[in-house]
Amino acid sequence: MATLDFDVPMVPTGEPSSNVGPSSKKPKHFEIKKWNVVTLWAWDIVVDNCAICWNHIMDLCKKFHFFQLKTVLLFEAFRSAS
Amino acid sequence: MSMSERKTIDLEQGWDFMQKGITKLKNILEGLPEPQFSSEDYMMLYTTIYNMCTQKPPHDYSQQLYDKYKESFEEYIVSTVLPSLREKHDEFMLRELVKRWANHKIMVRWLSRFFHYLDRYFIARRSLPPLNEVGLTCFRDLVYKELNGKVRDAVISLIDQEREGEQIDRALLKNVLDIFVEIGMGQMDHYENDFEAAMLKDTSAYYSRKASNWILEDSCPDYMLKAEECLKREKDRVAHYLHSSSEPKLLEKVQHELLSVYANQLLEKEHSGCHALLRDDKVEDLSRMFRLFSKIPRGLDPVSSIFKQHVTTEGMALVKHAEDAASNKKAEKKDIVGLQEQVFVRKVIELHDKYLAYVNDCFQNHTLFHKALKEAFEVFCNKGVAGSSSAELLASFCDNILKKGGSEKLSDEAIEETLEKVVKLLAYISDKDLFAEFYRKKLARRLLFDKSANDDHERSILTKLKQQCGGQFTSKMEGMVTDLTLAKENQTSFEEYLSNNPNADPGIDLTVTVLTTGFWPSYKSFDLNLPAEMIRCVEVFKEFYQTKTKHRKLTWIYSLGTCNISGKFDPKTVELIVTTYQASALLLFNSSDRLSYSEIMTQLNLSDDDVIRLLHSLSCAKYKILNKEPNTKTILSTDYFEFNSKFTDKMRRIKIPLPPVDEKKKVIEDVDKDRRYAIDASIVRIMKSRKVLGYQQLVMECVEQLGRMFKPDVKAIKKRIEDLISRDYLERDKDNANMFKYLA
Repeated sequence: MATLDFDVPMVPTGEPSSNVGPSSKKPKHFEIKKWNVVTLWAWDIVVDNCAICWNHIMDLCKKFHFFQLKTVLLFEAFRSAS
Repeated sequence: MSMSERKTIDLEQGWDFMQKGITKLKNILEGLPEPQFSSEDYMMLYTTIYNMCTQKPPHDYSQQLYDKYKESFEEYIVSTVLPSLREKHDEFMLRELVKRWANHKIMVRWLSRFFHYLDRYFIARRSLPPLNEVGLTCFRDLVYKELNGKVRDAVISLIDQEREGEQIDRALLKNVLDIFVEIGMGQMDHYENDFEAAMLKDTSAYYSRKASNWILEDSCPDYMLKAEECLKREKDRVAHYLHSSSEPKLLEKVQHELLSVYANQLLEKEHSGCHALLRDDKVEDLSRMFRLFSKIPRGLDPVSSIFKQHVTTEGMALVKHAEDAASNKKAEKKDIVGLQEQVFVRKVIELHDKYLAYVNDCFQNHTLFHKALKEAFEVFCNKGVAGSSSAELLASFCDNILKKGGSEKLSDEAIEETLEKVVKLLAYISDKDLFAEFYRKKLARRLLFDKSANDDHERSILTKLKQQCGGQFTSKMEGMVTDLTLAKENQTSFEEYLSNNPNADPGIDLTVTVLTTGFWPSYKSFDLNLPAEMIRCVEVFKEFYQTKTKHRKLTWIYSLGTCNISGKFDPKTVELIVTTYQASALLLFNSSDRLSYSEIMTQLNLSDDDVIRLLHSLSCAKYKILNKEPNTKTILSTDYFEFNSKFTDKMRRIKIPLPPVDEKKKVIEDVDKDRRYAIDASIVRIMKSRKVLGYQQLVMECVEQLGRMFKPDVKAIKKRIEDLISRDYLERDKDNANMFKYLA
């Protein structure tokens, strides 16, 4: 309990002082020059898997998925409009 | 008036005249000194018959003459022909017979001419057998029937002599056997019943005796050479003097006695049988074996069976050898597919090349041998090596060929050829879905880290895989390759967007690769707390992306991608190439020179495993960017970390690797999960069409439906059925627990 009590105040105490001190005192050790990053796009819908075959909804080769996507997209558009 | 009338010829007088002509003919046939018939002789003989047949009754002697015609032959045969034949034996008898038959035919021809008028009117009106037929029938009934047995035996004896290598008079046999055929007068019954049947029986006996010796004395190749030679000679025999209709029957007998009877003994000879020939690559002997055994019923079954067994054994030897080589690897590298496994795949390819050539050449593309090859490869191609499944090994092999700096340097043609062969091997692997997943994983790495050596080869192998396994198999992979192209276009658009919008400034050089969810292997996505510089980048890109698309969300995969960081150390500035995780950790030390393990963990919002791996790469590995207290080799939660201002390296640019997570287990888990979905989908599809189905039938159809991609475990299917019942897709029949009904 004593240890826990000791740790808890440390975090808020250390953080603000650290933030203020070094930034005003010395230059940064590390500077980002270039960032290559990867991101995955998906439809902005809740359901990710087809209810029937449970394959991921992004498996567009199935006609059913495409139909379902259209339905969902229409629904989303309607909801956005309202 | 009386002078104009023709004088009537009585029977005795006319026949006496004919007798003189017939005697003359006989003398000629016997080779006695006798002048040939003159045209005058012929005319007189013909005219006599004519006159005797056209006189008014009771002087019309047609019937009598018809009878006497036959009697002439009978008398000649009994008095002259038969005695000359009876006194002779064997080959001499055959020669005499041939001569007598030839003479008989001449006699028939001449007498038929003399008696021709009978054929035209008397025989025609009364539908009697024609003269020619009567003549031949006499010989058959009097000579042939008495002697054909002895003739047959003599002929067969000569045939056997020829089989023993002796020289015989083939023309003589040809002529003798022609008699059997001609006696049939258009039918083959006499040839077949009186000669061929006995000849075939003798042939069987002959070759049975021979084979019983050869099988003991000869090696398999020598025996087969003899067998092939015997078959060739029997074919020659047919060509020279047997009737052509005998060939299939004759060869069948020989094949039966030489091959069918001793098939197993021959094939299984210990030092020279089928196994030994395959082991020693005796291609010529194997070709001969195929040619011979393809002619007997189901003769190829044991050969293909031994072939399959041999190929399986060879393949298992490769597996064993690779297993032994792998066990000598260092323990810590066991999970990584290495050079030994590459060698294994290469050897399997070579083995397939070799035995496919056997199937195509030695075994003439026969379906039995294609099947044997397929089944053999299916046995050992589904064995793993050193903990790696064959699916993974093949995927790794492809990766090694397709990536930059792979261990093999191949020409473009060699790459294409090798990939073609790998795809052929894939046909033998049960877990094609596992291959697909491993392949996708490695393809993703090649594409995202710019390790792919040649875009054309990438697309080429996908084309081959598509042909082999279907469009659904490769659709995701193709999507991946297309995604890269789209990502480049997207980046170009992003750069245009930045130049057109001064307010949109990521602050650093930013490249974003946008990929389509579902095409790519699933990646862990943590809630990493990014440094402020990166957060700004993400915001700027999101604004850009919103201008181009609607209703899309982006999930950032920080385990992919790289970051170039300028590290300012006391000796000099060094450019560090790190992952996003490593960059985020390092940026923390811009605010604090010293941080505890728990502080880092909290600020980055990562799990223990990830933090340990991360900090280890920065403080305990080759490049010690951070100093660790205490200075040990392992990371503990009580450790502290400090910026290492004294760090330096002779290079100005270094890459700090972050050890990869165990991907193998992840891939296998992913495949297992996908299989559950696939089994569910299959069960639902089956039940939807059947409505009601028994358990066994359902399992069987499920296995059949999914077999192209993987072999579902029956227990797994059962578990999925239970799960579908609990989710109300199926229900059990109330009366029969083994019957299921489809719901909704």
